[in-house]
Amino acid sequence: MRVLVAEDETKIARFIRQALEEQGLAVDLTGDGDEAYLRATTQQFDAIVLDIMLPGRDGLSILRNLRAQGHATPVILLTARTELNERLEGLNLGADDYITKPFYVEELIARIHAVTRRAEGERLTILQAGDLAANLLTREVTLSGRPVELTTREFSLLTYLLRSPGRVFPRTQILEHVWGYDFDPTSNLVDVYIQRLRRKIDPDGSRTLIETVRGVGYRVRQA
Amino acid sequence: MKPRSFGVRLALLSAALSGLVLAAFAVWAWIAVSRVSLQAIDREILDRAAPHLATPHEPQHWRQFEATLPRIYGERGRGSVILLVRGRAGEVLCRSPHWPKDLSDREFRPPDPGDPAFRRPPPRGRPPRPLGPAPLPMRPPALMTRRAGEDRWRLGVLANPEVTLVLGMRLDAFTADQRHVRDAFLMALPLALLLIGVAAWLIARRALRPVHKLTAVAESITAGGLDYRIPLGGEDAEFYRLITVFNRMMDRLQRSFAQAARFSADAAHELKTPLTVLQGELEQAVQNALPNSEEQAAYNELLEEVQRLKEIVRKLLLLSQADAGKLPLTPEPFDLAAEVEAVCEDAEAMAPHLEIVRDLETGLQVRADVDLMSQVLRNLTLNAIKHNREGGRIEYRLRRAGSTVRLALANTGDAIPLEHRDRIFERFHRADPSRSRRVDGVGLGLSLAREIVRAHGGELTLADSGEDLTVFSLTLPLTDSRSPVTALGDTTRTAE
Repeated sequence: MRVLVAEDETKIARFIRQALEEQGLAVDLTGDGDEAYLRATTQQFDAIVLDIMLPGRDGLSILRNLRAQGHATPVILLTARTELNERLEGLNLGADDYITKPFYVEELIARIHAVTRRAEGERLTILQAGDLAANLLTREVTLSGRPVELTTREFSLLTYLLRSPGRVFPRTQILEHVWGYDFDPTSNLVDVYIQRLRRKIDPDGSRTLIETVRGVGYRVRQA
Repeated sequence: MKPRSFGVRLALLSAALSGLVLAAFAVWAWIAVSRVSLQAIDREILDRAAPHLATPHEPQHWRQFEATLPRIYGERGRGSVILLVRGRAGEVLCRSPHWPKDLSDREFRPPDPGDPAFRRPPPRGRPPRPLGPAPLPMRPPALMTRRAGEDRWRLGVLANPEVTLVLGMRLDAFTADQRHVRDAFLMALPLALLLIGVAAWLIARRALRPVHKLTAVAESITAGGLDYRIPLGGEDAEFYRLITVFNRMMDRLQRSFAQAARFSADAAHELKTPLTVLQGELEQAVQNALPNSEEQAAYNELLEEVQRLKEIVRKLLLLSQADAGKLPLTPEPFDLAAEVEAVCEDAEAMAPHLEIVRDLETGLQVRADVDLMSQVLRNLTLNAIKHNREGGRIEYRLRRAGSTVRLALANTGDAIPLEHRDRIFERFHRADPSRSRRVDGVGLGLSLAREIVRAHGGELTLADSGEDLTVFSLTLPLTDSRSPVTALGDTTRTAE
């Protein structure tokens, strides 16, 4: 999969590239709006990550022109300002998603996967790990075919961890994704919920699906 | 204290002032009219009596004279005109039958022929009669007012060497018209004052209309509506200046607000780039470090600090946006009870030592930004946990209250000290500056929570803080009537 990343802050661009490449994505990097537009119109990409503030042509105008010319490549906007109209304008112009700085690059990767799946018309609705299966559409969770009752928070926590097995999820990152903002990162909330979740998906304690990463957070054991 | 209305004050003042002037005028007029009417009565008495003293008369003349009096004065004069005539020896030649008992007649002495007054010509010079004897000399008449019982009598005492004649008229009978006028005036006065008051109030209201217009505009100016100006047209000079000055002040305010908002946005943007780099690099570092190593835990700690910084920047930006009336809301309808329930769950997880009591009326739809509103709920919950006591409880009560929905969030624990109660919604306020950094960030929580609630047309207050119970009250408008959220950007984005 090939992704065009248009970001003029070289340090941000660098870690995005590094993270995406670690996930096996091919990354084309540019820090200039005009060049980004040229590449997007002349080359084939599976997804485009577009910073709104770019030297030369800005992100929104690149998006507008791409869509006007019939390019349907999925676009994820990077915005620094949380102003509503900018995000809305981006979505109205045909952006597939947006992500606000500062962001976890894991979140960006997940969204790239999401928009490319959407573009291909394929939907990954079931996340699986061993005999545990979570259906994202019906929100049903089964353990060896038997249904498991999860609360809303427990469900989003489980599916969040399941979507990147093997990856370390720091507590702050889990908090931000599952609970939203404004939680004290040292709160024990995540640990309490992980314990509950473990009791439900692993009643007899024989599988250790969710591993503790000491001093950091949790991860789902890679199959 | 509620200030008194200027219009009402003006009305009262005008009424009082006109009342005073009217009353003074009335008193003066009353005195003047009384004097004039008294003079008329005096003249009447003298004119009536004097001719009878010009010549000597037989005693029966006086009785005839007395009998003619009621005929002269008609109905009005019945019992109101009295006559007393005494001869030289003090004998009563005639006394009206209705002469008041309380009126002594002793002071009216019989005439003393040796009185030097009789040697002078009569006071009212009449031309000497061509026929008959010369007129008798007359003592100058004495006029007096005497009280007898309820009545006041005006008495004229005249004398010639033969007789002393007292002719009296009851004042009340002869000043009835005057009193009617007075009564009418007394009755009309309050009415007139009322009319003057109402007129003054109307005039004041009319005169104050530009001020009301000014007030209305000032009220409608929230931070987001700084572009309101008062139109100038046909105002009086005083208001023209006031409005001009006000509009100019608004220009300056708007400029500085716009600058402040732009500065905050720019600052946040500038801060976000390094934060993005830091967070991204640290995230990668955590991934790439040896699992469960000290190095990894250290990176994670840095990541947590970055998270804290992120939160502060985000809140400051939200506050500055709220100040500029541009809080980015994405309102959508949702069931508040469900959101509160989720927060209750979190509270149970975070604080197993506390009892969580829920009393939630379900099906209360509000239209609000879910992310921001749940941030408010979380903030209140974290506060309730932080300031609770061991073995305490937190109560959530959600109720419909008219066209609003009210959430009362109560927690046990020490009361908020009186001097802090007004300040807990202030920015950067912390009850205990030394201790609570770890828990509350930088004390932006409650002030931001209040801004968020207000941007949704609701209100967040400290309802009570007693011995062992502190209650926060959050109200939001219900959306049964599909009333639009009043904040800026009432545009719905489909939820992600």
